[in-house]
Amino acid sequence: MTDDKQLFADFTELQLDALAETFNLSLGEAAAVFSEMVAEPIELTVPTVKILRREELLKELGKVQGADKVDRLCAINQHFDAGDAFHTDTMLVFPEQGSLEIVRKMLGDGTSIDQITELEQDALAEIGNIIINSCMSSLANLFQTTIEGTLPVVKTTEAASLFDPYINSDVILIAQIGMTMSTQNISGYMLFIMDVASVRGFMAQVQRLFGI
Amino acid sequence: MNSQPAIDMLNIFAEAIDAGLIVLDDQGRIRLWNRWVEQFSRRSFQEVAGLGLTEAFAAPIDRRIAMGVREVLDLGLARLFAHALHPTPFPLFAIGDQSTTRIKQSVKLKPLKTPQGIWCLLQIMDVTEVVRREQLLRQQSRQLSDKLEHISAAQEQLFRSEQRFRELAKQAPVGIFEVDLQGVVRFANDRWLKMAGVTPDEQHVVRWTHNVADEDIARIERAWSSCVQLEGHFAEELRYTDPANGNIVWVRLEASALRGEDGNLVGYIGTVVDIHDVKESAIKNELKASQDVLTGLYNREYLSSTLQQALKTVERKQVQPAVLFLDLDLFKEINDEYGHEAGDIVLRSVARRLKRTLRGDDVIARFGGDEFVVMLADVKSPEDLPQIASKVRMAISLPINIGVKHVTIHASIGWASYPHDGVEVLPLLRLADERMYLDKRGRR
Repeated sequence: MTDDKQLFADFTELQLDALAETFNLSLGEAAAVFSEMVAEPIELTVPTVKILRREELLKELGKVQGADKVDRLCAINQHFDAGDAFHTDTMLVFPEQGSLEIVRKMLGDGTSIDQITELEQDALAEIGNIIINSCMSSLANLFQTTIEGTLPVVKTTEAASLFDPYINSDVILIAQIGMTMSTQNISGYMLFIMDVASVRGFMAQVQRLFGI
Repeated sequence: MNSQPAIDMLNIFAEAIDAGLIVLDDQGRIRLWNRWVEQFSRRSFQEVAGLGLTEAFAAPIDRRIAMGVREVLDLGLARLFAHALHPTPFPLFAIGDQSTTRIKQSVKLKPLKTPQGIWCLLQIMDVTEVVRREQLLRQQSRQLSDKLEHISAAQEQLFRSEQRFRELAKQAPVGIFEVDLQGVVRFANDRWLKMAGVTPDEQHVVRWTHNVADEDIARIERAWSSCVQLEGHFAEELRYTDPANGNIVWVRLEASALRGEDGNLVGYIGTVVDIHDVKESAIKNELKASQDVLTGLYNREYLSSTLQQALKTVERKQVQPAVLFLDLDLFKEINDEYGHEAGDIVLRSVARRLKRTLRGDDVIARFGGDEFVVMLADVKSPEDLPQIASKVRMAISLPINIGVKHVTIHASIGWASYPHDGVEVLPLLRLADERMYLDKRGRR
């Protein structure tokens, strides 16, 4: 058994439930913001919390991509720092085609250009920025702490190379929640990528929040 | 660490960079306002130092930017304001332009950690040029997709009409073909291929006249080349030979000129109808009208008209036609003694012997009853005539088997030749008839 698995085994079921609930709260707000932006109801799935290695995550992402494996992924990524408590990369991931549909729907331009344009990519970054910030500010609110964040970076790539910046031994805590725009049939996922120390720090905040 | 040196360093970069930079302290007061912002806002740093963002500009700014600034200062979160969603948040104008049209912008807000707390860095980019390029791209994309749509609609229409034509060609009860100016088959439906005895592989290789029967080929080639020269309509009846079995089929072929876009003749398109049965029966009927049913020889009318025709062309052809008038001696006695059937046998035998004795281009006719007339196409000299008559006489006088026995019959013969005896049909025939009587009387 690896250290990482050990880490997961360290937590009680109660703690893991609390962790899931924390994400549920923050992501719920993010989805509400998103829903307002696209003026459409957004359905949320029950969040699942997993601690995975990078290669395990890639397998999971195979599921994110769905049946159409050729579609590339579009990720909007921001780095957050909660002082000594934890730091995380927070990613909003959509299938590439889906992300184009969202941004074009919002901008009201139906011109079919295969590639996302510079301005569209900028708009997509802002959409992700708003959703991610809403999630992170509600976490900051819950934990009664300050979480500083960088500007969003948009990356469109194959699932396999999405996590290249994170070294192999990195554990990735995924709080995965599906957001589905029913009229467009687009599903997005929010991922939190943390190292072992950050997972422990995050859990400490969760325990404090729920008094466990 | 004192923050002032940091701001000084920032100032150096701030002046050099091709973007607007504004720094707000933790209270939201302006601490840096670089040259770019001075130029585009038309307000100097001295005028705005220490003011809040909303008071610094002469005109209102986008409310959402002010809210974003609060998010940065209170929570330490970075914010991006994309041009597409907030086109012109600040009242910034092109340099040297007095217009009140705002430049197109994209804005980034970043938290700056300082000992005094979190400050806010605003970064403003002029994206006017990017917007212009993307609008151009969109316009081109739209034009391209309009064109594509147009082309695909035209293609669809072309496909339909092509399909319609193919189906018609397939189902048509006539042969349909298209040829180029050399007469090489460019398209043909199955029916044409079958009628013309051409295999599908030979298409695009052979000319449409490939299997025209030997009897017709010279006439058809002449007609075709003059038709192409005159760019006219082609219509001919001709025979195709099937090379597989030698079968001949009569067809009627019609073709019209096919012109290219420039109006020039590019080929011919036409139809072929099978007229074999009609043609065959027409030929038979024609033959029947000129024939004597019993003997298969020509009849009186045919001989008269042929002789008339021949006399018209004697000068040109340099020939000397002649006629023989034959009458069978004692034919009535055979009829009376052995019956009409025996008489018929005799007449048919005489006909056969005449055909065998005379030349192919001589016209032999039964004139009626037991009278026969032969038109000799060309007699070198009238002195030859007795010899010919004697040959005929000899052939006829051989015994004829009438079933119950053999009978022998003789013929009386008279002749007349052109031009010595006459130059017209009736005088020649009359003279030959008279001489035949003389012969008959002489031999009794």
